[in-house]
Amino acid sequence: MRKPRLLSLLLALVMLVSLATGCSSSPSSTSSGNEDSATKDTLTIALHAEPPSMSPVDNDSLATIYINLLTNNLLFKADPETLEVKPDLCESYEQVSDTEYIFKLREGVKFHHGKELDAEDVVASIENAKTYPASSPYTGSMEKVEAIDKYQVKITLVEPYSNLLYDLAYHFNYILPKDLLESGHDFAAEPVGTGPYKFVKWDRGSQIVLEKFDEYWDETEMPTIKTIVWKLIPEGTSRTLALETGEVDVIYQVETADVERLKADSKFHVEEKTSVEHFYITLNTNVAPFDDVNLRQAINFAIDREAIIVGALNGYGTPAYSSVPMGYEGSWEGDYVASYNLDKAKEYMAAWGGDPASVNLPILCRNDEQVRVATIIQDNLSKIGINVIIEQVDTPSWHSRMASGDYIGGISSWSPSNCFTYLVRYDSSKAEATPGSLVDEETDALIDKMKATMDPDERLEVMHQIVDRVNQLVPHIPLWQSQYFRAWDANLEGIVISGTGYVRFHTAKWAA
Amino acid sequence: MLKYVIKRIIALIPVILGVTLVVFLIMQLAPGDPARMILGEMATPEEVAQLRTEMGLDQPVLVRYINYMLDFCRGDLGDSYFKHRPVLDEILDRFPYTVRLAAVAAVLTVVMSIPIGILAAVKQNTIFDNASLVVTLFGISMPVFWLGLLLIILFSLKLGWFPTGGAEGWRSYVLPAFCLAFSNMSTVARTTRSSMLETIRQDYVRTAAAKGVPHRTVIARHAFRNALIPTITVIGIQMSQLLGGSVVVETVFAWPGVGRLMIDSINSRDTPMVLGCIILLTIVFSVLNLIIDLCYGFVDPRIKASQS
Repeated sequence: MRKPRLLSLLLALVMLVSLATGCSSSPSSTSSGNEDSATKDTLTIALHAEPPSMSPVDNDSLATIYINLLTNNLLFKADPETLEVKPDLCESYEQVSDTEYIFKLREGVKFHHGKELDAEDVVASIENAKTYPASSPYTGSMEKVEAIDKYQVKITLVEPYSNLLYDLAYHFNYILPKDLLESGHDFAAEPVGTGPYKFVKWDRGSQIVLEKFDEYWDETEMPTIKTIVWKLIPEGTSRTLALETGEVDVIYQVETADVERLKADSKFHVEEKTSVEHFYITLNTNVAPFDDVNLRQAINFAIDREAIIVGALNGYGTPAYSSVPMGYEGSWEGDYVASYNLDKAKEYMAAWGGDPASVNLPILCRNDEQVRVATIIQDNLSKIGINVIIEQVDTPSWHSRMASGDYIGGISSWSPSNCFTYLVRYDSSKAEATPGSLVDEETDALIDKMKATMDPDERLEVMHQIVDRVNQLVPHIPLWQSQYFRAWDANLEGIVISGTGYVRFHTAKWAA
Repeated sequence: MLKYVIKRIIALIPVILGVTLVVFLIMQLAPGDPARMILGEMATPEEVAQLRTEMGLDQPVLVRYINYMLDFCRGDLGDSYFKHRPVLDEILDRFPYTVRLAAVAAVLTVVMSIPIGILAAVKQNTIFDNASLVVTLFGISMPVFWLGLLLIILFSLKLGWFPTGGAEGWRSYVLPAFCLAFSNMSTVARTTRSSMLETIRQDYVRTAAAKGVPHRTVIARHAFRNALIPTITVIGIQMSQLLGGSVVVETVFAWPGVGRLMIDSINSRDTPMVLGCIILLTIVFSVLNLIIDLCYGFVDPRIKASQS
């Protein structure tokens, strides 16, 4: 009798501990959590991944971009609400011909090491960016960059190109000081720019500390918080717990399982934003039968996006029906998008004319979420006789197979900073490099026209025509746009989040 | 003894050569191109090829391996593909955190498990023995990830005693070290118990007791010392694992150790960083094995004689 009694005692103990962890009411705060928001001059942000480097040009990591947003400036910046570009370090600009622009810089802008910004810095920064292969989509259009005088820069383009200002608003073109570029300063370890915060220290694997730059040039957006600490917390639930204990004030990438709990607590604000991160099935259109547009349209109409969002994404996401995500200037659905319609799907299958039983569609997935999505697609497509095979691989293998063409289908995502960049991927010249691309003369002609059209309204019209054309050809099947969640202490004000997921922290302040 | 130590250190050279060669080849055979990982899905083949050339990935595998080993002999472990800094610097930044956490966890493990193991053996089939069995089984079976989160909820969120993560101050060591120690404790306690049970039934223990030696002395001097060899082996293995970094605990408690660094590097195909971590692990395992072997000699003089 002794053993069962002992076991019962232990089980009771375990239950008590669980009750203590689950039911205790008021959480105690540790460290910063007790600090009065009126006297607080530090903002601690939990980051899910460590930046590989602090240099804006040697990587495309989101974590690096988050830091560089505070330490650096560009000639132009994207408006967080509309994603349209507006001048930043550039005070004004003039297009003197189809291929020539002159940019007038702001005067009196200081770098963190004390030097004043001038045209030579802009020239050196863009020339430096051009030496990095990853920057080529954003620097390749520029043939020559030259300083006209101390505050004027002339950029000569290879050919007429209407997206230059957006390219100049992308992180590869951050303006760095020429003297430090020439002296071989290690920007990967210590960023130096003209931004509202300057770098203090980086404890590898642990935290990054930034401090308010008192000589920041933009007095309208002068930071009020003295220190920003980025804490690396890779695990989602641990990030939420750190916010609840007051150890951090803001968390990126809130776990969807924690969203409702945080929303229910008045101490926190949860910001929900439909992002421009576009998920889709990349189809290998070089392989039969997926080279047939009717079969692709049949797949497009047979997929129930709403079911994917409810069944695989915990209800968080927005169905995507167009070949370009909604949220950009230029985003468009038009008349050729496909919503869930089995009858239409069957009509397209009939138009294709092949035997559905002969169609096997392996879909490469990179994580469990994508496997859940593919499982719903498997069920959807079985209704039109297509057999979906789910293959889960790690990210490097996924990249390798997509790049080498060793795939039929794969769940992909992309979130460039503007619609133009998104649409250029459909140019035939990109077909070899970009999985799921298109070879279509009509699309190419429209893309060329978009590049050369400087008038914003006309260009918008051409963009819509491209989207319509691509929606008719469906080289890839749009699925959903993800939902971004950021949560912060309710006493914080002035935080702005954009559709690309970037957050402007330098305007944040503690409520009085 | 010194000769024995030198011999063991020299034996480390072929081990490192073999391990690095195998890891190097595995990293080459694994699908995935670091240049493609850096440039992303939308990069053109030309851009990828250019970066591969810059990174030296266009050279034959053997040439790269030989170059790597030549640099290694000069103390240069190369630069990380992704972090754009020397591998050695990154490891030296992270390893002290791993060592400190491993040391605290090891001390906690020993302090908790050995008394439990001895008492469970001495009081075999009593309530204490059964209770220790349940607790140790609990420790072995409970996922570290879940235990870590429960500890955070109770001690950080509800009680506010310790931080949820990070590596600042002594408080930040308590939860991750306990989490590691609790799962390790079970194995050490069970090993100590079985080993003690075997020893206390030996004739010489019975003789000591018959001669009137106090019970505590019989257990501590006669039985425990001879039961220590398997326990030391298990502690040594666990210490090696702790020094290799615990990915799960480092992730849950945001601990900046080498475990997560290595896994992240494998996932991004950062070969120089993976090799650096593996070399570190090889050295740690070998040195710890040597220390354990030397410890055997101190515990049991017969083994010392054979080492000499």
